[in-house]
Amino acid sequence: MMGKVKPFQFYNESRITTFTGIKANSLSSMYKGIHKVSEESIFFHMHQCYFRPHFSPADNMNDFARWIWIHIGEYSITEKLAMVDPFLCDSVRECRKKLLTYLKDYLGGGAFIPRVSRDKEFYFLESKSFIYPAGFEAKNLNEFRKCIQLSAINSIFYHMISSRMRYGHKINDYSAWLSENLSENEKAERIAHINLFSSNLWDIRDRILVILDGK
Amino acid sequence: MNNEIKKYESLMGKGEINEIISLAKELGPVKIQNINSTKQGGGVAELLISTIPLFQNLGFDVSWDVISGNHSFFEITKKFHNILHGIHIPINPQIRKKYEKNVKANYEIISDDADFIIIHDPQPLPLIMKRKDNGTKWIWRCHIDVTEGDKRLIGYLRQFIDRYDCSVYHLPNYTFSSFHDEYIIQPAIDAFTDKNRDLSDKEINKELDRYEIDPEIPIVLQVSRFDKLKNPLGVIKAFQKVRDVGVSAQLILAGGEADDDPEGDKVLERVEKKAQKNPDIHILKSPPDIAVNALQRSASVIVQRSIREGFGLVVTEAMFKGKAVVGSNVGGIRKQIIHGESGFLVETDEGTAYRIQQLLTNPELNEKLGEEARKTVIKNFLMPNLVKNWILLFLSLKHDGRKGAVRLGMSE
Repeated sequence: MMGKVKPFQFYNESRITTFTGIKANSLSSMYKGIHKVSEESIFFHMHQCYFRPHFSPADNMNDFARWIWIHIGEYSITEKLAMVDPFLCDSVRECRKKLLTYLKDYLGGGAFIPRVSRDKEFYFLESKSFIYPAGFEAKNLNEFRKCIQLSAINSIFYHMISSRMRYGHKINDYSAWLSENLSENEKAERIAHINLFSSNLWDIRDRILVILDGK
Repeated sequence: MNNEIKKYESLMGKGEINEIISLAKELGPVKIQNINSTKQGGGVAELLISTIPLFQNLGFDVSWDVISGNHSFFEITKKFHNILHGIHIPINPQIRKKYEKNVKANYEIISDDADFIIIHDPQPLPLIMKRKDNGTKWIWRCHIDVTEGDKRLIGYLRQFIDRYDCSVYHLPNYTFSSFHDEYIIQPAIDAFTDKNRDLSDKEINKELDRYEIDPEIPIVLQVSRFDKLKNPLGVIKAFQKVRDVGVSAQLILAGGEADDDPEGDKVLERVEKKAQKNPDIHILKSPPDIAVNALQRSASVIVQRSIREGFGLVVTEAMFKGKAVVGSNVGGIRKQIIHGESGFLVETDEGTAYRIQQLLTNPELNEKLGEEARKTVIKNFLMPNLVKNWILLFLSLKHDGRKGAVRLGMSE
């Protein structure tokens, strides 16, 4: 084990949603919207699926792809947008660029662009986040497991997803701490390799617990 | 301490409740005043009755006041309500004057020292004209779907709405495109009232006996007022199609009478006529909450065939009881049901019949969707979720609506 253990401080990231005032009723207005909205809005729509309880992987796609799939019914562009993995993007800016490139290519291909009725429009939302101590910390593996089990879903979101994207960390907070403070490299590695792209936060927490139990 | 909110730990988990308690501490003690137009009946009153004890339990000073008005004032606000729902009724400048004059007569109920004043729905909206420069943040909470509302009336109300610090809506579709921040907060249900609490078999059977419902025949249920927008006639049509293919079932339509819908009486009359001809259809007028709870728990399929639906808490209530709901693909119903995962979204009577039949004849699928439905509600639509969102909104206003992430309670 390496030197003195620095306790792991658990944080929550609680989010409230606001409407940006921008909406889309077709692929071209979706393109314009993605171009125009804030990075917070792109971040919101790329990650909202992690908060959606579901048991079918078909529903597990970012909000842009999901809307096109359900309301526009253009499957080829849906597939392309669904494959934009935010964890393979270095920044939200890069994510936006990828989305826009796919949409631009599709729109440039001369496809017929249907419009949806008013009640099926896409509303660009964004969230205001508050990051604050969850009120507990862990100094060893046993405490760490207990804290994970006790964590709110928003805490899992912060440590596994948000802090990486916001602060450009290469690895999630849990893996970094397990490796640097407890030398639990194997567990750290396995947590780092959980496929976030096809999971929701409840599943992610369950998988972390299984790994911490050494199963 | 925190006993009211901690009741929810068994449903939502300790972590989710601790998050709310921590957030409340971050906000600190604040004084909140709610103002609406009635203490009895209606969704707003129901929400306030359930949320206020939770806020108080978290250490906030919360009050609830009601504006008074004469019969003519409430006639006007009912007209506004109907116009905002898309019914065409002319409004002249005299009516607007009467409305403003009545609200003005209520200025004395405004708290002088509240940190936040929440005005619910259009009735007390012009109270904002009495706003003082004392640091109080004013929030307008709109509980209705105005997507089909008359643009002239919306334009008139905007002059008041824009003076608020922010407004809050169930869904982004219902926003007014105001100049200030528009927050999206979904409503929620109270898991411990007669409407939603767990019932024993004895309690359920007692309610079924009271209405002479045979529990051996699968129940298809819609709980809603008898008005055009709730589409009970569409439910009857769909049910008849299910019976036509030989699937055994009984239909129960339960709900109150629509006192604010001019066409409500006609709808009820037609529904009753249809029911008289078909012994498989039961009409239950204004059953008490515990009976609705028992019916929902006994139902094999719950339907919500509304033409429009602000949010549809009745769908939330059904889903909380582990029921797969066949709901119209509109408004808040669409927000709650994930098609094929936690229920079914439908567009037509035929689609409704198809899904009812599917659920009645495939109990495994029915159970699987029902389980997912209950999880959805527990994760998103119970009272503590609503309280959490309000605390976040207050924090956001306290931080002057700063965009992006705000770090609290720690050194940067």
